[in-house]
Amino acid sequence: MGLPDNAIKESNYRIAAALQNTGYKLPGKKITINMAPADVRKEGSAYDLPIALGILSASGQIKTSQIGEYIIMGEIALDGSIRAIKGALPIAIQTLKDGFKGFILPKENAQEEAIVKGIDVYGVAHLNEVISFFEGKAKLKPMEVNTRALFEQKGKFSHLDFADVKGHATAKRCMEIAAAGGHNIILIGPRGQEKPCWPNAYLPFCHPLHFLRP
Amino acid sequence: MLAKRLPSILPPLTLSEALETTKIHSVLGRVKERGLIHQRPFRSPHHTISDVALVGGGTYPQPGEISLAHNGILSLDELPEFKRTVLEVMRQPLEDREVTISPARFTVTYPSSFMLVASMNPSPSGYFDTGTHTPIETRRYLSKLSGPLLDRIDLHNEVEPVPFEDLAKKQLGESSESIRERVTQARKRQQERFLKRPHLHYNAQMNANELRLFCALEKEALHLIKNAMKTLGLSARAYDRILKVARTIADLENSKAIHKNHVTEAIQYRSLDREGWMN
Repeated sequence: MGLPDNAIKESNYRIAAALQNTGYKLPGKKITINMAPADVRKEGSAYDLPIALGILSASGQIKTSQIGEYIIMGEIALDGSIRAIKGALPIAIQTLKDGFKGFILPKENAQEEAIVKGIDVYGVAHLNEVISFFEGKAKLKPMEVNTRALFEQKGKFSHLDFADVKGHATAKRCMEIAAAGGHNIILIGPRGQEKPCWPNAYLPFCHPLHFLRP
Repeated sequence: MLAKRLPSILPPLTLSEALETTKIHSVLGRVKERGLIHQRPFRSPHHTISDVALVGGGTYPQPGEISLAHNGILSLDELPEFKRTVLEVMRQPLEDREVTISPARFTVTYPSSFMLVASMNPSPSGYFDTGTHTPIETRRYLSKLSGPLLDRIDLHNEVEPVPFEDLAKKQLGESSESIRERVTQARKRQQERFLKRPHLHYNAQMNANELRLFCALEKEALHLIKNAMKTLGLSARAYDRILKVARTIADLENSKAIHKNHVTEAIQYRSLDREGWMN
């Protein structure tokens, strides 16, 4: 309960299958999962993993006291592997603010999250990894990213260059002023005038075509 | 297209800007293996776009195109073809640089500080001359753009056909890299000027108060702008825009004061305000 959307309502099927496939089971009782606060809508499949771990820990199948110290998010596939989620970066920033110990999330999202300094980010690929982490059987390695380095390997700015534009001195000047002051700009021109460039300016877009040549 | 080349002359993203933009793209699950968005986004939605897709919304409120273009460019091609309501909902975020969406129960605020780059034809047929359609048709076409929207656009540029001699020239134009160098320098000067005002990053963000403070005109320039407003029939809003643009032109030339020639150039870029064009 707690205003879940359809993706969350269906998560009990995913969790049941995943638990069975990893050697655990759903307790044969009625389970109530309360997603608080009750009046905010919850959406998406990212709650599969926390719900599954909650069930395991409440039914005594895993014994740990640490589970409350981590933010856990992830979608579970039927075989227990963990799939990517949306909106992981804002969650990570909130994790830091709320003073949690770490953030456990799908491996595919880990790169995106590790940008946030000050928390440990653990990327996991399978439900088993998370369970053995909480049971103390295995350790997870925090993901490390050098944000500076990531930011600095910028690569090329753009394939398109103003050098290929013939004439249009005022339009170019206008663009320069707009870029310098962050101004909004409108270009009014007769048909076909906005595309005045040599064909080779479009070459970068043509490369995939070469692939088709015998 | 000219607009598509604009990102090539913009100053590079700062780390904090990159984080802000990545956050929004992360909400939609569009970051994945790239990790960090390090280029200014360039969004160019088709003109059939709906209000919700542009500004964001839905039962589970998602950011729209204007938020995805945060710290980058929103390019709207064929501006009068967009639905009028779509253009009108964009007005508030253009001014406030953030958008507040309140579907049913709760409200969400997404940042939307973007540069609008619009393009349009001068008439429904696509040409300057009005031989193929009536003046009424032209007026209907242009009336899609409301005054308040145009007021939020600082620079109007009429792109003229390129003479054959220019098209046939082998010589290349100035490269984006050297233009970017000048742009980055001009931005630095603005940041130094706005050091004590953390909400201000560039000239276009100045409000009326800050305009008075940072864009004082010389006597000669003041006289010129007074004359221009009278003869060209410019509005008070246009006056503010001219001041901002003149400030940027002066920054590009590394000039502390705004001179007469800066103002003259800025007035040139208000062609849609002038009498006879739109009305």
